[in-house]
Amino acid sequence: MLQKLEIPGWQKILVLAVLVRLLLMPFFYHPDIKTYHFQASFLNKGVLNIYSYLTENKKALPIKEEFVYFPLSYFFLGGYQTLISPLLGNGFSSWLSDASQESMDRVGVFRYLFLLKLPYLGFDIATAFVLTMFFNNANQKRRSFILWLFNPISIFLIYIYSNIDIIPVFLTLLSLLLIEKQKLLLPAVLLGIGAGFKSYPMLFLPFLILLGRSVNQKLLIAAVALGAFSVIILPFLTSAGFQQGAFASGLTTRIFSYGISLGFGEILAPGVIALAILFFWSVFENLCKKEDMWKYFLVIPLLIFSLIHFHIQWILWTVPFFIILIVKEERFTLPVITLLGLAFLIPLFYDDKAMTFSIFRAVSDLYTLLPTPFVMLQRFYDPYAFQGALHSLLAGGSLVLAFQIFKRRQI
Amino acid sequence: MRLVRWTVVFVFLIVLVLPAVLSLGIRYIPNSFQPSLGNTRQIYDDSTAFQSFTAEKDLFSGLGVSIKNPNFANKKDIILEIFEGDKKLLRTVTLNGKSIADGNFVKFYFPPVEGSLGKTYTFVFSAPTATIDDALEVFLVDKKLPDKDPADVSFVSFYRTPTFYSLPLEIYNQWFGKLTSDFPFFVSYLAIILVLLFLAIKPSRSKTS
Repeated sequence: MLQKLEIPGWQKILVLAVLVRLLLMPFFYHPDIKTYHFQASFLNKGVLNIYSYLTENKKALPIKEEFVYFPLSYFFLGGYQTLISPLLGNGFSSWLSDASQESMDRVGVFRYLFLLKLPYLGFDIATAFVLTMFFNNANQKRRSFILWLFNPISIFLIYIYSNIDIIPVFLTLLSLLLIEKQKLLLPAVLLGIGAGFKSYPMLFLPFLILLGRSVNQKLLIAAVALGAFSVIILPFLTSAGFQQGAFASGLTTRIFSYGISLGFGEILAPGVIALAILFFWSVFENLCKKEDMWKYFLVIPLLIFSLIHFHIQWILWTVPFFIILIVKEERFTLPVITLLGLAFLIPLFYDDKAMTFSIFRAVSDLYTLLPTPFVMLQRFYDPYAFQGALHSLLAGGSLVLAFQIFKRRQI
Repeated sequence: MRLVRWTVVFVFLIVLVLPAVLSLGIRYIPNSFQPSLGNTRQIYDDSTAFQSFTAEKDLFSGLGVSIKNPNFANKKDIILEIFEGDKKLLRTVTLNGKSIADGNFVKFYFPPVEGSLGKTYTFVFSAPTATIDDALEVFLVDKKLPDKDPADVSFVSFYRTPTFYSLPLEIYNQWFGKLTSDFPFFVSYLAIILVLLFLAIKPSRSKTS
């Protein structure tokens, strides 16, 4: 594979890419990494159903959040922690359960942050190599390699906000690669496994099903993907903690719970409307082709976070597919940069200290004293109105981009 | 390759320079974290909250406390007076309850007190125009805290930095100190960075036929 890479100087590019990541890893902190690793640490103590465990022991635990991801996240993080426990040292467990403000003053914090982010580096680098496989042209391979490894958006999302999204992103990209290589069942399995970390890969399933040539094949694709996903979640389905934590939070709630009220408790959800339009339009116009599936992998998450209140790490879901777009069609570069820039900017204006200057907390707690952009803006304008304006721009731009991508059949 | 260069430079700036730049926006340094909150003491009429403490730094410039004001019921003045020892009035700050949301951590800033390091000061919170019905309440420390009197006010004292560069220097000092305190990690991390830097900088060997 490396011989077929056909990228001159790829070794040096890779070294520089790893270097910039290692520079960020120990020194930037978002509280999510501590929360979900605290929760994952119970795997080492024999807890298999983290959802029930957290619900039953909430009062006794120092950190009381629910585990909001799907089971594979728990087993992956918990397993990794067990593997590297000799490197983490004796103070790690007490740091994880230290919910005080002084927790980031501890010696060892840089080591913990570095080691906890290390697995993401593996998936991150692997994503760069997989991206090159979408192209035959050496120039395009090089461009996609560099664009993934050196775009600040994915670097910041993975190593500063340090969420687990890079794993399902890698799996969805791999799934797409296999679709382009004329496979259908293996991509379905990968989507199911990806959803075992975070649910969003399931959004691609209806469109993958459309690729089936016959009704039987369509049913088989659905069964395989849902089967893989079901194997992962079935043991936890009856757990109230799972229903509340994983199903009823984040993406699943935001897609369905907010929108245009029709009265009588009913809501029209704009994200669902957009996906439905895309789906039925694809059916009627027979748009769904294997060579065009990357457009769906881009447009679906783009429409989702353009039309609902989103977490910053959701932006990562689109980045590899944006890269495919701008490598294939360079004229989209500026619109893509604009949209990604807007998308990245919006969460920075949330009323959430952890999004901005507090990411420097591992360096010094004094940075938590700095007012957030939300507070600074509040002095002379309504920050929610400002967020709404930016988000409206993002939504409008995303809708037009989606239309343009599908309109140009030759991309 | 322009993207590569720009991103590498950008990350170096974010990691090595931005902390210093951001620290210039921090004008008041707290002495410590606020002690956990416990009960409250009402402040109204001649009922006050007061406490003495020893300043831990020079240029004592502010005091922060958490204040209860349910539904913005209180719209009267709250006055903070700072005394040296318990006699000499040094500073007075007046805020109004209408800008104090329930449970907020409220900072009272005043011109720096020079030579404050090691001196004992007494602060007094009063609200002489308030009544018991619209009293503000100042949070005291959590009675479970081992080294605190439950009657103590849960407060934070703030200090100005002596020069614009003293805080960035202090932050970088502490950062480096924290990094080197975990010596095995520091050595391993530094070794990896240096190896990568060497590999990145060394000229590539040209292929010979």
